[in-house]
Amino acid sequence: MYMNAFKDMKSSYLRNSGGKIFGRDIADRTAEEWGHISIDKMLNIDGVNLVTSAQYIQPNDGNTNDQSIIEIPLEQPLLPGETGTYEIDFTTKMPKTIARSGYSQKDFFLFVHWFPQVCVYEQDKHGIWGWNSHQFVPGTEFFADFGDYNVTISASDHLQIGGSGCRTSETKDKGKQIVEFQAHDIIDFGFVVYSEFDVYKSSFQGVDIEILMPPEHCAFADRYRQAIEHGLEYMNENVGPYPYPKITIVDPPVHALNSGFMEYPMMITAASFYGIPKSIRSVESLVIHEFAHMYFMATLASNEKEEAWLDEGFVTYFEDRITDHFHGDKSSFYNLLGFRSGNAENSRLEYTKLDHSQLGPIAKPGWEIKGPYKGLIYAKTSSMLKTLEGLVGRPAMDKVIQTYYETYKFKHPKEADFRRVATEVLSDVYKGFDLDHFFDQCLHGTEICDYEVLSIENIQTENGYDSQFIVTQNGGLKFPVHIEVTYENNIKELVKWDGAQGEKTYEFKPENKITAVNIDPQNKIFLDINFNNNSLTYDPDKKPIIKYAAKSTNWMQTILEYASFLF
Amino acid sequence: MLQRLKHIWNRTLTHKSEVICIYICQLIFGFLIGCIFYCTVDDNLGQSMALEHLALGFDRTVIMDMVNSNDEVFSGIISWVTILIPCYLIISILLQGGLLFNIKRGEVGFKSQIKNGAKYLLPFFGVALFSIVLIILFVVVVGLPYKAIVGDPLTTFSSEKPFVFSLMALAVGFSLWVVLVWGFSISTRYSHINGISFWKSIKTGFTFVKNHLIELLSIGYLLLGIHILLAFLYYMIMGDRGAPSWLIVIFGIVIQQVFSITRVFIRGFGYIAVDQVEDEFIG
Repeated sequence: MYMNAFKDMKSSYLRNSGGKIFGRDIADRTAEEWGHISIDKMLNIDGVNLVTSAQYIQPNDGNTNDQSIIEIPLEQPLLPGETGTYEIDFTTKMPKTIARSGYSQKDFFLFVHWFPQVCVYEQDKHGIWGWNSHQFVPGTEFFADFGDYNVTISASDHLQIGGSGCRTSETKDKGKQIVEFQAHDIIDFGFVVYSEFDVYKSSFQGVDIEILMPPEHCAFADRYRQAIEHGLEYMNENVGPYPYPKITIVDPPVHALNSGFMEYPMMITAASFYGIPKSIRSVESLVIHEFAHMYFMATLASNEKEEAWLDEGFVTYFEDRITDHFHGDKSSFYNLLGFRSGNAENSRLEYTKLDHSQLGPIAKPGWEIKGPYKGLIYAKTSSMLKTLEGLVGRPAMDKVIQTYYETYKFKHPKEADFRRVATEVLSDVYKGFDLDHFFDQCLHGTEICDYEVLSIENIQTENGYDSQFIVTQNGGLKFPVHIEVTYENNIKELVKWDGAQGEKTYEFKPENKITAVNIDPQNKIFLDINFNNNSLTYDPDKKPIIKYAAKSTNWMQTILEYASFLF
Repeated sequence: MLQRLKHIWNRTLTHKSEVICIYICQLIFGFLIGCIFYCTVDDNLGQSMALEHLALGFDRTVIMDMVNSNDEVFSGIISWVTILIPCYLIISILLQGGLLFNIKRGEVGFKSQIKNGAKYLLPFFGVALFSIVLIILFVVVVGLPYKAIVGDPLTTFSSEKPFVFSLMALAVGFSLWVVLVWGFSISTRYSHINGISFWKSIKTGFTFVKNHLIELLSIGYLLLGIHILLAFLYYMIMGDRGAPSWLIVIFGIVIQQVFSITRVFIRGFGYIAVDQVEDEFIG
């Protein structure tokens, strides 16, 4: 009963929001601008209305004003192997756009979580069967079971309609239109209507693409289409075939911007703003991110409330991979006026800029995560997966993901499932690496990784040099890593290090002195919070510092010239 | 028209010593920041092989890792910039005032520039403050009501296009106002150099702007256009070349300084263009 989260400010979702959702004031709404949902009746096969004994429950926080979960007892228990058929009549009042769902100007409506959704009946981590029924609280998203949907929408014919599923019929008569949608094996059904939408249709690798966007965003149509095609091509090749026949992209108008940035099965809501240049690829990144959710959320339907990292983290990892693949790993996020950044680079920096002493583990329920949700769930997970990829190699990583996808598609995989698959797959290709320890420390720990070269020392002897260098790991994360040692004659040597916390001294008796030491020269350990101190050299290249010092001189001259135009 | 522009440019070149004096002053201030920047980055990255990444071009990871590992890394530079800018502005009043004096009185040379600039330091400081008040006036009279009318642009408009266009219109309006204030500021200083009292000079400045709107806007937007063209050219030439060789680094430094001195010459060109218009006005 998600829509009841928008009934008033007393719901668990809104009462701690501080009166703002996505930075917009919501507290001073009129009664008409709130939304709600109620079940009018729920009939069993015998026509008995079960709603009479229903009650709202609050298993998370005991807030009796919260009506996001309703418990409806059956007349008789449904025994293992039995099936039950129930008919539900419900009434939903849509709110003014608040957090995705809702209405806005010119008959814009985004209908998501607009019907009562049945909770998932599953085994918990202890193997006990029960309803997984968490309230809708901040820091959580959604969790529902797979189903087939036949949805008939009756609307005024001036409206454009798009949604999850495929359009199976469409009739228009006397100012009215009736549209039927059908979808199989999806966990939710959302749809959108708006009087101003332009519709762009195309097809790629057997998948129909439908883009609905307001006319002022028409310049983005091709960028959206290309981004979806990139996503389809990459995911088909590296994860598995896209499991649905269609994908709908909704670009909400600016007055309904709070409807954007979200994923629903077979439908995503993006966001754009008139005039965003092509060199800023936020539009593409967002579309690819939401599209990747068709795999990690829609198909591998993990519990977004309890284990958000399993969808947002994996999605960010693939968003980074896809955009970096198609637009370059140093320029996929933006490349403007000489400044540039890649997506994976951006994710790592979102993680490394956090205040690490206050970080919590990422594998915990959304409602327990206080603080930098995105930096942890999205960025740290993505960097963790990229670190794993660095350690085991891209082909092995792809095999893990492909096996995970194939094994658990249309199921509700948990952390243990992914770890099991990874362990099985990697045991063949990467022996001697303690994967359990890797996941334990990354998912459940709060330690960081920070390699550093402390010193290099060469003492000349009769036969060459007595050389030593000292490295240290300033954090508690432990990954095996290579150290590249460069000698005076430019010969390079790789040394293995277990990467354990604390200092380690390496001693050599080389013919030529050591001129440089570089830990993890290829930056495979993406969780390392500072790459700069990974190396030390006797022969630094100072040209870039001179260049930037000259640039800063010029910037200052420019500032002075323009600042003094009236002086 | 071309003849006129050529004449103005030739007059600008006769004041090259004053222009170079201003440029050198800017260069000294800039060089101070450059040195602080060099020391800061060298302290943090000087022995790291991460510099090799920067040699290939802008590398956000290297920069941000440096900032993340040392929050204070650029605070020294920022505090120096905030000290140096006001200092330069005072010196600028002197140097620009001297240049204006030389233009008006037909004198040349940086000695006369500094001597006469010092003489007019206080009144020209007053003109600068008055001009800033005029700029603030626009913000108060136009900017604040605009903000009040637009409110939250994401909900006020059914599309962001009107908002974007209204912002563009506001920017054009602001640039118009800035050009006029700039013209006023120069004309007022010229009047004062001609021996007119401070407040009468202010009045003369307003009258001049009122009577020469088109000429002032033409000059102002010509200069603005040249600055935009210069910025575009600079980006086209420099781009993100990195620092693969000393030749590229030195080439970059030379280009940067050529553009810097060109900007100061353009300013001198603007002063002389206004002087031409004013001469016709007084004549």
